[in-house]
Amino acid sequence: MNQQQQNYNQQFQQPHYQPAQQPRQNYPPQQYYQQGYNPIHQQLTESHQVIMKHRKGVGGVDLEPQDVKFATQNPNERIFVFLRRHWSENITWILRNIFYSTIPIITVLVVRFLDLDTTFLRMQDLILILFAFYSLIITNVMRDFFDWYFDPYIITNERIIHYEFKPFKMYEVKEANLSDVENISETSAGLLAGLWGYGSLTVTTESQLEKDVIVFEDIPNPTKVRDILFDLVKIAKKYNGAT
Amino acid sequence: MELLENTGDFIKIGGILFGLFHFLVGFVFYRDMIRINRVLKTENSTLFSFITNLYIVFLIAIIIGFIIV
Repeated sequence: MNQQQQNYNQQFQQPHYQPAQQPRQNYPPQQYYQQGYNPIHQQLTESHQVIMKHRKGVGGVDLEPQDVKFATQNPNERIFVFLRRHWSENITWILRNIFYSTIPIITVLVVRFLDLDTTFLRMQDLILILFAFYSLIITNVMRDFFDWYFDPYIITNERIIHYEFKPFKMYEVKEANLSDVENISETSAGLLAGLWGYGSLTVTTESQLEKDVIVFEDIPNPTKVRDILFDLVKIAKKYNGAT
Repeated sequence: MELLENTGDFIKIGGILFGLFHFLVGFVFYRDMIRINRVLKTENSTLFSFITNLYIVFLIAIIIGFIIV
């Protein structure tokens, strides 16, 4: 065993990587340690090379984001891809809220046109009513924005995670191991999808159950993301269960 | 006429009730935001925490505004 292999062993033989008396299921077999390299390090290195290959030309998709962490992230787990739905998903609610915010102006115009009596309303009352109305719009805007912003898709070296946060409604997290991914299919339908280059990826796992299907809805650059995901799945299956 | 004279009171009571209801709804949203910020930290988590706190203060200010005016 040469010096480099000795260094690998020393560096990665942390307490929780030591083989237990009764090894866990899918734990790396002893031969990996005898060969002198750590499969987790190897997988991370190869995954990193996949990401670096795609560094350019993946607009709208965050590769290896530095400031993103999630609650169940494991010590050796690195986030390789972080993305949300395409920005055009926000156009609908933006236009809707702009229309809502013009309702007071339309009301004033209608009142003046119909020459209605509004002397019973004091100026302070009008101002408070306006504040209350616009607070509703602000709540609506925040709800719609955070619904989009906190709905990310995360691909790490171990798994795929989809957080779905719908304010006032629900909070759902779906995840699947990369080594369990069986099928990745891409769909891009519609004029705007073709124009702005977004589409959906459907990731099916071994269980084939509908509830275990993760759908990357309306993501930017779906072809590149599919390419990255497929390469990462190949690496994960190569070291099946090593992490 | 009597109804019109009490319009200011109606607006005040209605506004306070609306403000309280909106505050309850906003508080649920605030609590969900705290939870999601704990579960998922992004580059703008601090900013969004600040915005959510400001939002709650704004809702309280509306209730106080209806009470005072």
